[in-house]
Amino acid sequence: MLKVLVVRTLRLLATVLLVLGLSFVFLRLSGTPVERMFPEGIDPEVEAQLAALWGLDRPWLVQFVDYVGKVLQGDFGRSLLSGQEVVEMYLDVLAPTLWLGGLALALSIAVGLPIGIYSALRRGRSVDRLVNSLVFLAYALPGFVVALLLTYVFGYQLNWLPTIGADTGWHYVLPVSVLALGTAASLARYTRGAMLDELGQEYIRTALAKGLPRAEATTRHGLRNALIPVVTVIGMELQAIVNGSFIIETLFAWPGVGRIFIGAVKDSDYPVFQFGVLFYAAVIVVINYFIDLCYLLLDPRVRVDA
Amino acid sequence: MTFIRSAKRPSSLAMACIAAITASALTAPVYAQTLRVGVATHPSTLDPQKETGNDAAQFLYNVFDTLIERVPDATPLQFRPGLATSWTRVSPTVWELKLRAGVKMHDGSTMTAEDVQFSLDRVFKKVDPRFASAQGRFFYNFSHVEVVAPLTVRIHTRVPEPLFEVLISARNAGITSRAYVERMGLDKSMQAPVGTGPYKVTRLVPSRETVLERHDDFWGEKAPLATIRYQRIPEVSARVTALANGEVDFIVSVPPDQEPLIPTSRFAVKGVVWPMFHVMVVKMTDGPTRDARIRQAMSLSVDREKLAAALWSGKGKAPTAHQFPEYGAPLYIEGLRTISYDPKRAAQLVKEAGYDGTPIKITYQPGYYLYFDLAAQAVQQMWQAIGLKVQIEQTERYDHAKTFVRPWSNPMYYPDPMGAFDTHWSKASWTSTRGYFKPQHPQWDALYKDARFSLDPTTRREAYRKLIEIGEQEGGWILLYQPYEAFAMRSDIRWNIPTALRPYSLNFRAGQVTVGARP
Repeated sequence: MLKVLVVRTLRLLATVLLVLGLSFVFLRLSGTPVERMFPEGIDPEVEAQLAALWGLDRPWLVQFVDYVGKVLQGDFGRSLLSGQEVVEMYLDVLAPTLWLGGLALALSIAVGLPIGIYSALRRGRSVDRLVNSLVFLAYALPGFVVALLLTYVFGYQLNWLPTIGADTGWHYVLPVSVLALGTAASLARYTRGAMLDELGQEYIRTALAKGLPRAEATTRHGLRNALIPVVTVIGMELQAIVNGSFIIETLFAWPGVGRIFIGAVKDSDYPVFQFGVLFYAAVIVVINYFIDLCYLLLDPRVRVDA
Repeated sequence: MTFIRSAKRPSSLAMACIAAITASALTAPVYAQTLRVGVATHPSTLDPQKETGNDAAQFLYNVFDTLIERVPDATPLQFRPGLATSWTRVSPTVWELKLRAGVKMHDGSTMTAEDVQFSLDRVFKKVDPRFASAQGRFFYNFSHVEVVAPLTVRIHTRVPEPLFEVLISARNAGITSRAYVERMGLDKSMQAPVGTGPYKVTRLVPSRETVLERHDDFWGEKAPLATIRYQRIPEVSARVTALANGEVDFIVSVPPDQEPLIPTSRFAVKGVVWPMFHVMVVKMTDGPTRDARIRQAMSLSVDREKLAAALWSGKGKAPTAHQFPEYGAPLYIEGLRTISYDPKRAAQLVKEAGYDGTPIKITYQPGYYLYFDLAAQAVQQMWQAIGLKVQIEQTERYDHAKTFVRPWSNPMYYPDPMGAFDTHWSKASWTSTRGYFKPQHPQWDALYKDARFSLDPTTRREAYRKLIEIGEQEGGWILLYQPYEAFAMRSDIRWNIPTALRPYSLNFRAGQVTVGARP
């Protein structure tokens, strides 16, 4: 068990280092902060001074080793543009980001799962067909279109809900809804499919044959097994929420991590970007860790193997 | 952390649940009695000597004072005392200024001559490469500041400076505190800058949000607003919605196609044709545009009236010469026309040049200049109609060796012929150093020197007139149009676009804005 943990951790660190190394190189290939700040080019002497000021006049490998060394000491550097501590920049918007993503996930599970189960239990009936069509529509609509639509109706036309920033609880309603919609639809589809798979299994028929009520056979046996693939999908959807939040944050002027990260890419603000890469790597790792935990809870076979 | 329930807001179980869950997460304060401004762009810092962009211009005038101030809406420029109470030229290259006594800075200290020397010398002497932009744009002729008495300084220029007042009243000559910057270091001080203006910065989140509050110890008339909160709302539709929805009171950068969406029953719209051109820079030294006749033909065949009408909903302005009425008398030349539309003559020039059919590429970064993608397509048609082969190429980074025609734009940084011209076409500009702009006319350099440095306004005006006439013949630039955009605000806000300040300045000082009771 300990060996497995050590190997997993080492593999994880190697992955993070690789991702960091690749992103380190790719962002540098796409342009320097000096080029971004002065797209027309500046006096070569000033350019050299700025590069020296930011330590960008050294070979990339030296910069990378220096960066990793500092990160190991907990120093993630400062933004080249604003001079602000990188960690501070991200921490400042961490809470609204996590709340946005967390609420969107919670809402999508709360809505998507029951719809999927209900639809599976009503398979082939008109209500199933109706639900399926609506789910497909929600799944197919791009988030930004939904965002513009909801903003127009509830903000511009009706003046019911705020549309920019994260000042009050009301500010969460539109962005959370937009983020949750696609994910809920996706979950509903997967849940329906997984439930149908399980309900067709022989063990369900056996359970019914031995006299178990249908409701119990469905929930205690069918649902529990159906949830295993659904949990994997939830993990993937969470990553989709993280990606989707980049656009949503811009549309709703949301004070979030995504805007900082995207801004860093646009400005070639290396330290801010590099921390973002580490941050997102950490998020993905944590998500996968929790998915593994969920497997342990849901599937006894995983427990035995472990 | 507030949930404000109004009669119009819907009540539902789902909303109540979300409200309850999120209530504890909400920490951002809500500012009451605040002018809330939705801006499209937001700088990463607010250092007066570092920031030269349009984004920072929206803030700096409210936070920083200059030694000499401009009357914000006077044409031609009028100057009045700022942090200096008087100024005189004591020798051709030396100006002496008496400083105002007892000026309280935002950190509570009192402004000294050392603060003035520190603020200006760091940009005059380019002590940090981050001040290079302001130095190159405004202060390359300024040498240093000399403290001659506790409240007297002398500013030295390299050669006699006809634009002394104009340049020293630019916000990049704003005064900050020497002790504060030295104590905090530049990285931190530019995050929480200290000036002497009527508002102080109390919160700055780079590229996102800034809060200014009234500086109660301001030396002049106190600020009319208690608080100004600027929020960056990058999407124009989101800005318009935020205004219509009552989330902000004032928004900037509304393009003409979005303007009809502003509900005029509750909001006022103020449009402006900016003193700036969207320009096509044409490479004079290489490639298919090397022949002056081809470049002249390209300029003559562009129907600017049509572009301004179609792209800018008739609100943009077609230029007639490389000048702006904002200079006022005597520098603005009334009725001057150096730009013409003559496709027949253009076609003839193409023939005379023996054009060999090498395609001329228009290269641009998509989305960088509003409507340029459309302009490029229209101009492509106009040029093809006179016999040129034209391609359009989008890029993220310009490869200067392979770029022959590309867009550029700069505002008129100060109301003077040189306010836009110097940045675009001086020998220090990238257009010159990157081999695009290289006028061959033997008088060019001498005329440029007169237009920039002569102490006689008439000489400057006449030199400038010849310069722009020659410039059109040289064909290194094609001025397309002056863009239009609008500000929109609650109808009880009284505010006017300050024509004497740098474009994009938002001036909220005493006498420049009033906010009535909400309707």
